[in-house]
Amino acid sequence: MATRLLLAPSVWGFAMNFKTCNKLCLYALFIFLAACSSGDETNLVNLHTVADQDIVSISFPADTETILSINSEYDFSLQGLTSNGVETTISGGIQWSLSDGAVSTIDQKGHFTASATAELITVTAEFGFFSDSIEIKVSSAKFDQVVQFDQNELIIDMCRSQTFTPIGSYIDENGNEEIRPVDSITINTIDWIIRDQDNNPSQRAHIETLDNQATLHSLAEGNIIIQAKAVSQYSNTEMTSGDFDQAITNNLNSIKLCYSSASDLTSCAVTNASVKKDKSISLISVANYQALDGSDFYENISANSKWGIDNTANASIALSTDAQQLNITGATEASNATISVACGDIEQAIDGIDISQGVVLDTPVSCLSGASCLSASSTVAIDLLSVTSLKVSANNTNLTSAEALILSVRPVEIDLITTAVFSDNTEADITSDTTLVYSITQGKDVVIEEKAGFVGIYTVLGAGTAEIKLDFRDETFYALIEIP
Amino acid sequence: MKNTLIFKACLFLALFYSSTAGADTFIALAPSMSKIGTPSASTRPLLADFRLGYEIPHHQLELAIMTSIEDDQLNQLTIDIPSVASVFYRYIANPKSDVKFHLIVGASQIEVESSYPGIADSSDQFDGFSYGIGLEEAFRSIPDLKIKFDWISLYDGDQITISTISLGLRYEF
Repeated sequence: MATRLLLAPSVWGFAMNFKTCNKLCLYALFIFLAACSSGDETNLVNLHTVADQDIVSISFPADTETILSINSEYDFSLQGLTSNGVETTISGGIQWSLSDGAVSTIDQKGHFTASATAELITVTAEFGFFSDSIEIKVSSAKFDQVVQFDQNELIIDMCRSQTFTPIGSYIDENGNEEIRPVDSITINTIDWIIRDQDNNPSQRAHIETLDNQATLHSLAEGNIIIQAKAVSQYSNTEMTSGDFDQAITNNLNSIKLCYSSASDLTSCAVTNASVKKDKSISLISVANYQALDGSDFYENISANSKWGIDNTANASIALSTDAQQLNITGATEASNATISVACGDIEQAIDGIDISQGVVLDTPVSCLSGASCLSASSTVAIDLLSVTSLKVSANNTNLTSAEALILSVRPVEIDLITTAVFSDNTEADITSDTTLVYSITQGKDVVIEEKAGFVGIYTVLGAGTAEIKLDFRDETFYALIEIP
Repeated sequence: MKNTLIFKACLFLALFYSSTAGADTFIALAPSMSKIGTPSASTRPLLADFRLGYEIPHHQLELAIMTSIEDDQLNQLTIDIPSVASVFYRYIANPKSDVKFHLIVGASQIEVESSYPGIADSSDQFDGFSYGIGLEEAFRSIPDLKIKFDWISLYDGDQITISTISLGLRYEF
């Protein structure tokens, strides 16, 4: 027995060791198998990458800049040909690289930062198993002045916005001139001057530069003269370019108002627009244009439209921060405000307005007779706020509707104060509001009577139960008082 | 490589369980939806999954052969898995329960064929550690026949994952 007891722990230990050993062998086997994972994944990854965007060939866009200024920045892009023959911009999955020895850098979004010294480099884009390269010259030539408004002749419709690429003259240390798009360093410093044919400042258009991209916003048909004023890095003087003539054409078919939430600009419309006091709704102006190929299309032109309102006491209007919609805020309950919008020359003067901030007038806007202009309008109702409850006190004691307040001493008068709680959680004393209707439903002329010339005040006549019904909009309150 | 894997599997089976008494052999058949995942997109060829193995309490060992039923397309890309050979060890976590839960580990060899316009057709082979989970329940009227569900990661590489989901039947002899 003693021997058995002595042997038992060793047998148990052996068994445990065997189980542990067995487990360890299995773990080792799994680790061995895991370590054995192999296979060339490149082909399958590349195939899925190009197939996902249905690309069968790639290339750099024709307008890719090949001469870039030192210290400037530029965003490269890559275009692909889809299997059905459509050229498209490749949206992702591109690996960007520069030739060996390049001091300039490029990130994996194609954002290029030029070196501080001149160099010749190759930019390579790899997409799946496709690859394309382009030779780039990082040039130390210095900007002198803008010599061309855009690489191409632009057709700009009124009330539309058009991006453009100004062309500059650059001069290197040997006096050689390079004509190329204005770089990211200079484009943000250009002061654009827009004049009409009479040499006066024109309100037909304005130019905005954002994220190294210049955009012309047009407001009315007609010819404009554009000049670019910028400091020449070559001569270190302020240089004003020559005149660039630009026409703003009228291919506008129609204009209408829509809610800003509209997803289909073709069929959108504003019907029975309403807004509560201190609340806002947003509208957009939508234009239909005739395209060069004969087709037509709709576009949100809110930023380049002229907006007006007939009554600023009833509602206020303001363009949103991005100018893509007009916000209308209700001011006076149970009233109306008519919002008008126009594209083109209007009767109202806008000379004193900074049109780059949008044109929003305190008066209705209307098209100038005989001018290239279309307008639209819509009436917005400013609704009453709904009432969620009424609070009533009698002689400074709060009441509960239809629950009797039992007085111990007969008062001379009962003074009711009524407060409305509105749907926007605001409260207002409505005791003297003409739409609050008082009526004595119990004890009339026996217990209480209305005090002549006062609202909400009752003279106590004798003992008994007095009930006063208060109606305000859709809410009713029963003030019930037991008078001793 | 495939022969080596099968040989290793057979050796593994023989060494570990040759002396085990009372083991039940079984076969299983299931349609299996595979998923080849890459960083940009994924494709899902359909497979027929045939398995042969044997079971002792808590443990199963099986050899799986899968073959293509239908290829999958991603735009112009056609992806097919003509063959998969795997060996799996399955640990039955709750053998007394009606619905049995399996932990699965093993090794797989997957062959993937692809074709794309303008590119020569290609075939790629992936070998790797596999793992997964399974659920199984016996039919009350035929206790030897089970309905089973498996999710198995056949290959988990640097950029590519290949997994299968199958729902099928297993029969114990």
